[in-house]
Amino acid sequence: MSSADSPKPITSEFLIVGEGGGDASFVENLCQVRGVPGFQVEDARGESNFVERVKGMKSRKGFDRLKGILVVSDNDDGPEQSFKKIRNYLKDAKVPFPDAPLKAARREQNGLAVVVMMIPFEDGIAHKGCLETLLLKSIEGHEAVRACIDAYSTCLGAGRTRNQEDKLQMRCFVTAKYPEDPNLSLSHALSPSKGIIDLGHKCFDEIYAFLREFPKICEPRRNV
Amino acid sequence: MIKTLEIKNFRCFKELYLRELKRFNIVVGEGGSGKTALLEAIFLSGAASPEVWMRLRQWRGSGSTFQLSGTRASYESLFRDIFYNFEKRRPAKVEFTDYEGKVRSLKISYPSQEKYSLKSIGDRPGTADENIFTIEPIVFAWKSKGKEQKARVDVKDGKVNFRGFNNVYPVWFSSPLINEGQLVARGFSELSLMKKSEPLQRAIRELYPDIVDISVESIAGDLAVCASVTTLKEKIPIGVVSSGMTRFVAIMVAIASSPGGVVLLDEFEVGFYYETLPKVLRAILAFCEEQDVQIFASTHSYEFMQTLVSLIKEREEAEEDFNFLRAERQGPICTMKVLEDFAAAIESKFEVR
Repeated sequence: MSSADSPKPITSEFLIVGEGGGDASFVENLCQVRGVPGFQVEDARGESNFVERVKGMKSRKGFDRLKGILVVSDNDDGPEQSFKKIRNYLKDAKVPFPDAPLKAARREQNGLAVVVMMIPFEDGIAHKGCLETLLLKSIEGHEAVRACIDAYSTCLGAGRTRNQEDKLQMRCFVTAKYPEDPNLSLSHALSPSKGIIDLGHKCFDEIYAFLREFPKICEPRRNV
Repeated sequence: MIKTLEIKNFRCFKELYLRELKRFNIVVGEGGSGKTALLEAIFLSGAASPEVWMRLRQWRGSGSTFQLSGTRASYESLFRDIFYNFEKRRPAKVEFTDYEGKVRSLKISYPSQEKYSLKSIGDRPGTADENIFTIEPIVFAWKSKGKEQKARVDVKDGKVNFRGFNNVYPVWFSSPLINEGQLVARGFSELSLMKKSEPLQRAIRELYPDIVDISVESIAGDLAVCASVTTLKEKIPIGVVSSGMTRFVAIMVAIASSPGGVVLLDEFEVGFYYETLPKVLRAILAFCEEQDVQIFASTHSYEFMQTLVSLIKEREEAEEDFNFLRAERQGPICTMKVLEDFAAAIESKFEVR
């Protein structure tokens, strides 16, 4: 087993699980850039592994210290269906499952809180799209590249879904901005050291604010 | 087969209750978290004499010989680490119930009504009255089938005397840290005399095709389990063949010698080459089922757990035969956490130990 594969315990009180590597990398780097401490961020390695990974989490060393789990996933072309899918995964994994995005679910009053964040969202309302949809909003200062990408996309013709279109455009942007490695993955492209994506951009402010508040959302409910 | 186990005031366990134990109970956890203490509790409760406690002390590195100075403190020093936080005024208790509802228990205590005079020896010759110490001897009280039998640990001339109780529960403790060569040789010999060694021989031949036969031989007066190997013209002690084979034979002898009972395996994986683990484990699991033996095994090895999970997946119906526990220590107190969805955790490469 290589060191990259070495099993790791849970060491934080709050765990963020990205459905994919991109989601995980986005939240991890956002926390780093904006100075939000106290999260352990991990990748569920895609839809096919999600249930097993969440299920197995309960046996994991350090699980008992957890106060909250935040699952991050994409709305894709149907925010409601995508949320339901994640909710059902959580149910299958036998962990608390919330009724709505950004709301905490618990089994017991003082128990572990599980929250689902579906992206993109604005003013708490989910919108169609994926991580790339959100990231594209941050490339405002790159008009020249943006114009090329738009032209390329138009040239390729229609027929793509919103998600596919946004993924194509983001791929082009990463490739254009990082000639050293045109195949650089989105997970790596999100690293501040690469200077490709500005995680300080205002389009990420709402997510940042939610992450900052997350520990409070996970605090045990008190009887009034 | 043990279904529930309750431990109170023993070693690092202030209070522990385990229910729904299975045929295969695997215990993980950090060093000093109580894995071996759990095995010791089961071993002691199944035993018939306090002598077993002295064996455990020896296995834990306390040495096989000792001389008491004649003081009460000296006598009690032999037993002080039985009790949680050294609180000898509260009895240590281990009780288990099997799947047939039968209960067996062990209570270790210093009953104050059983005064006992101990004459000092050694560097404090017992010639004067002040060198006669009154102690409360420790009593091991086993209860089984509604009958209680007490065994008091007496000291005479600096030597410890035990009395036993002939109702034992078949429990075998095997650890790579114990030099168990003689014990294994005697166990094998007993099986051979009763013509019960063939299933064990068969399992060994299946795992090590070069082995023709296993037998116990006397080497310069010592008993040793020896192997007849196709490539060698003379028999050879298995310890010389490989440490993996030595461990495998020790485990298989333990299982064959404890039908219907319990085998306790400390640090299960030690000695086995990683590539042989699937075959070794498959053979051991099958032999346990054949002999109706329950296993409690401790391990630190992730490879061992991965192999075990792949075997569980291979034999879908067998998942309910397994129970995974993690020993955890918080300050002086050890607890055991039942690990849910253990297979999913291992397949996700999560740290569970």
